[in-house]
Amino acid sequence: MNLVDAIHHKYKDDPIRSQWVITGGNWWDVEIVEDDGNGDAVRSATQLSKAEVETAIEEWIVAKAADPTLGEPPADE
Amino acid sequence: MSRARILADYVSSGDELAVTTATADAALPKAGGAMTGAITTNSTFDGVDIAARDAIHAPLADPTFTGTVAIPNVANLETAVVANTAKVTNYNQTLADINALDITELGTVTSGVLEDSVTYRNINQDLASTDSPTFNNLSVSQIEGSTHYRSNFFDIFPSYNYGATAVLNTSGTSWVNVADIQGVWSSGKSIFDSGKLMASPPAGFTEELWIHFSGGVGSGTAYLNWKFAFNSGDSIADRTMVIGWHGAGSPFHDSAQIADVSGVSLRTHMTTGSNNSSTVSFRNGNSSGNVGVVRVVLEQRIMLA
Repeated sequence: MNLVDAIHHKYKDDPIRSQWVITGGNWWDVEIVEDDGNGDAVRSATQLSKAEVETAIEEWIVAKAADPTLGEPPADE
Repeated sequence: MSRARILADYVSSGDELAVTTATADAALPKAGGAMTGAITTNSTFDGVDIAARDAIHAPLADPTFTGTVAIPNVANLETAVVANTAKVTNYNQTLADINALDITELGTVTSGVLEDSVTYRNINQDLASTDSPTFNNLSVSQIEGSTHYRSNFFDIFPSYNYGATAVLNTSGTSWVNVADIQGVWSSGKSIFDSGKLMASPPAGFTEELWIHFSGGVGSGTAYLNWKFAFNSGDSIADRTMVIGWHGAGSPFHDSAQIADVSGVSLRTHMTTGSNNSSTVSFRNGNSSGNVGVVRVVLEQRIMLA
């Protein structure tokens, strides 16, 4: 799923936005989550806008074109 | 002839006459009479061989017949047996035993094979290995060595509240609720209710409830963990089903039986009380990559009791 790869690529090192649940292929299907203190994920106050999601997708497409191995599993996997 | 000689002859004839008269008086007249002594013969008596007749009479206590002996016909055999109960008391089976066999339904037996029309203990059809017998009600304890009779399946993910074929989480250890099973709620009907897909099994059967979980991992070495919990506690504890870097939608698979929580079965939990629910949750058990769920199925296994 390109949306998953795009969000993962752009926000994997973000302390808040690296925690997410994606339930579909639309920008609104991306939900930033955080731990509620009891081990369960709940919706975070921080969410991605439509523009942020579209930017992440565009950056992913460019990066993947430059490096086709990006996001691919290691050879021994 | 001298006078003396004539007189002597006269006296002699008188003695002989007396003897003859005595014998005649003791004889049985032709008209019949009673004999006062035994009668023996070395021949026959009025055509009957007395010695041969006595040889026949002697073994009557255990007779042997060499010719054809007429017996009661089969249709009347039971009547004959009833009438001669005393004659069968030396056999192992009593009349009551014979009646209990219901042999009046046995019909004709030829060469050890029951005729097609025979009814015996309600078996009224061929039972060879190539036959397909039909029974109105069959009670068995196993089928091919297994007590598993059949199963009902119900998809609990994807679900309408997610509306997706995959749900993904990343780089976190928090649990994400992916599927719910709702119990009694107002007028809402549960799949466990009477008449629904997973109603209580009928008499003679029990049930096992299982969860089947399919998903994958990707974009790093992720751990796909999942669990099943009542709102009163965990039923299937946190378990890792796949580790590595694979397509998140790859259908790796795991199955587990739903255990009771504090002695309460899922069915009881879902059909009693109010607003009880159970949930399937998943998480990435590692700090890299992401994990995905593609399908979660609830199975009711109907088991032979």
